[in-house]
Amino acid sequence: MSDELRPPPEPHELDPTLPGVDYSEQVNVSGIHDAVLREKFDPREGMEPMPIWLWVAVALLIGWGGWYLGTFSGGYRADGFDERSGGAFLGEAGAAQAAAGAAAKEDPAVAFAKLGKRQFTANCQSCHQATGLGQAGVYPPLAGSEWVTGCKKRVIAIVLKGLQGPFKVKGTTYNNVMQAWEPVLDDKKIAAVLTFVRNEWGNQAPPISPEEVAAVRAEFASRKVAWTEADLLAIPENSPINIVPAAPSPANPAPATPAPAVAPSAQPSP
Amino acid sequence: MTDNTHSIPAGAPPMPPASDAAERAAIDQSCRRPVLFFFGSALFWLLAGTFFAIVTSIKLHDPEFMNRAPLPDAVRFQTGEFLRANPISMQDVGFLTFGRFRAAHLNSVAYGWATSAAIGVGVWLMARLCRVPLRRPSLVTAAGVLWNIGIAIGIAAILAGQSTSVEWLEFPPYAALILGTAYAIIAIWAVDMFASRKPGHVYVTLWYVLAAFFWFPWLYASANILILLKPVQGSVQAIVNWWFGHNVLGLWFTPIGIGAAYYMIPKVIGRPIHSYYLSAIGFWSLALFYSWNGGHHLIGGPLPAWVITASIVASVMMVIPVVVTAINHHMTTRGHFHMLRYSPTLRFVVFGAMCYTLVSLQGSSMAIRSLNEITHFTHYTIGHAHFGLYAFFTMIMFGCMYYIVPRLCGCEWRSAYLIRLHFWTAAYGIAAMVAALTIGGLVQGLMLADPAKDFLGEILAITKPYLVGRSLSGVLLSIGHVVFAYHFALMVLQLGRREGGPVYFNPVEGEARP
Repeated sequence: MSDELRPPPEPHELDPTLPGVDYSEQVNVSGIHDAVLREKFDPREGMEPMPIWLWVAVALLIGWGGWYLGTFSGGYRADGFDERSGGAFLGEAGAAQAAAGAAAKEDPAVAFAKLGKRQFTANCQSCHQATGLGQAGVYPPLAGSEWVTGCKKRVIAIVLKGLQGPFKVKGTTYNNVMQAWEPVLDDKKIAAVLTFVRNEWGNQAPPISPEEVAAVRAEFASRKVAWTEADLLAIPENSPINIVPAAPSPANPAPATPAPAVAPSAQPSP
Repeated sequence: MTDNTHSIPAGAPPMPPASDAAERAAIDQSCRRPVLFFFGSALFWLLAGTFFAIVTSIKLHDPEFMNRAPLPDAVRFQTGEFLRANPISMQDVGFLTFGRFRAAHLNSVAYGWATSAAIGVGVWLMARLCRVPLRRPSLVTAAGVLWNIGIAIGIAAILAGQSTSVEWLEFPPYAALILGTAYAIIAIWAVDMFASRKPGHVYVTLWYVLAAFFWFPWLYASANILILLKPVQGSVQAIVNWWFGHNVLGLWFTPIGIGAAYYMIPKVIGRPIHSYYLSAIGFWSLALFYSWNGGHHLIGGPLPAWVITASIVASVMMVIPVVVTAINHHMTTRGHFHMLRYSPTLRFVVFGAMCYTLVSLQGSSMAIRSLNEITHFTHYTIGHAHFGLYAFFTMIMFGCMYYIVPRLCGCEWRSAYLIRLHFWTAAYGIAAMVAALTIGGLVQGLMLADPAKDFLGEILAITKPYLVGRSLSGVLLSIGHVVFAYHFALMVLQLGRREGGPVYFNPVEGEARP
């Protein structure tokens, strides 16, 4: 032990012929400065193994890291700002809630409109066109259409069941077939797309809520064929829609902590 | 293999006819000018940064301090009436405002002091561990001159109001360009130096130093380009900013500090470092995890949750390199702790290495969301920053300077009393500062989390004594800095002692000689 504490024996003589070093600058010209002479050897490394408990601790820590990363990463989404939501920024339930809230206030929320616009682009635009003008003689226009901005129950019914046969829009008769969207789109999406088309291209009409769509869907549940103009006109104009009070939604969790920027623009895509 | 055998790798060219000591003396001689220049300029900026720090700290609890326009009474100030009544006051006091002095403090200590000291120590360590005299010493000195010009311009620009107001990157681009050039010279020099090393095992310190010399210019250039020259958009700027801000600490100061400790501890004690395997795991896990850490500064910010969570996980994973390094250092020092009584180098370095463990574990805990929500944006974080940059890094740099400077100047430190004074002012000063800011920060954070608390009336009043305490601890640190700068100046002026052996803290008796 005591040997370790002493400086190792080293020669004290300096070879003055050592090239490239100007010792005239050094104060102690007769030799190397004492501090260097008493220095111990440059450090080396021992080869002690890593203790087992440290391996175990590292493994446990990495395991914890994986669990934490998987649990609190918001589904690795670019719009997942809440680490506890496990995915969507608001979640599907949150979006429905926002949509319902927007409809209940008779105030079309931006998010709801965006959902409607996406639905329109995906499902309706190929026939009715982005301009909402349709194709002359083939597909009827939505812009300025009395059917679109008129009776809620009728327009919901059209989207649900589709159309067949001659059909007059803005004084022009079209003879074509429209697909039934009932099996494809849920109430929220139908409500959103209807709210969208009722307020786009200069149209102005009250929004339609998912509950109204659900009620109309229930009312005509037994009808299996598309509407004709005559059948539709049999529905009394502006007849009331009897909304059945919905059971409380099973999943209605607002995020435990509201995310900092609850901007409705970040709705999950369908 | 006993500790006193020095193995020359097989196949190495025969040693020159001089001894190991002569070789080291030649290396030290070649380092003399550049390293002393970096140390001297580092100490100059340390004093400047300390001045900025004291003024900034006092302004926090006494806003009228060094303000040309006296503030009205406290009530008016607290109700905000002051700003309405004195709309020109900020221009009026100009460069003396908190916003400019605080940035001047940060940049002069981070780039002026800490980085200059790190370059000086790193250059010396590289030469020692490559076992060749410094290549192109005048190039290193020239880079040092350029570096100091950059700092001076940058600090002047900040005081003149041209700060970019991006934290850690306050220097305007024209100053950053000078700094980047100076640093690039150092980085290229480091690669050249490494390439010309004598063959043999590459010791762990050299890994850290070389990596740090490589990482920092990359960080600095990337951050300046992505934030100032060709800015990325939106919240990406924030993540780039903290990627840089945290990596300056983690991939520049930390590797130099740990690398220096890996050299100094076994060197002074005279036995090998405990375990090569621990060294390797510590180094690579630091390199792997640290660069992810910055995101934990943005908890609650508008970034995707996974970015922040990944950063939190990486911050907690930092426990691995920290514990591994701590074990390695501790097992090396074990049985030799009595030497801390004597050797100034060892005491400063071991103090710093212990604080590295503590501050890093604290940092990992601060990344956890539930604690971060309390401590973030409070004095607690400031306490953590000083804990790391001072108690860990600066103390190790002091220790290294106590070792290196006598070898470069050819004389011994003049006074054990001055070294003792330096150590105890620094140790007590930083302990008091960390304690004041940590406790004050926790109180502040808990009160801020309670919406019923009144910010101006209650929270400010409660935190004020802690801020006064911080200022007082800063005065202690300043005394230490002045003492050390004076002592260093004596050494450079060749006024150190010529005989009587090394300077120890305490009289050395018998076998206990370090």
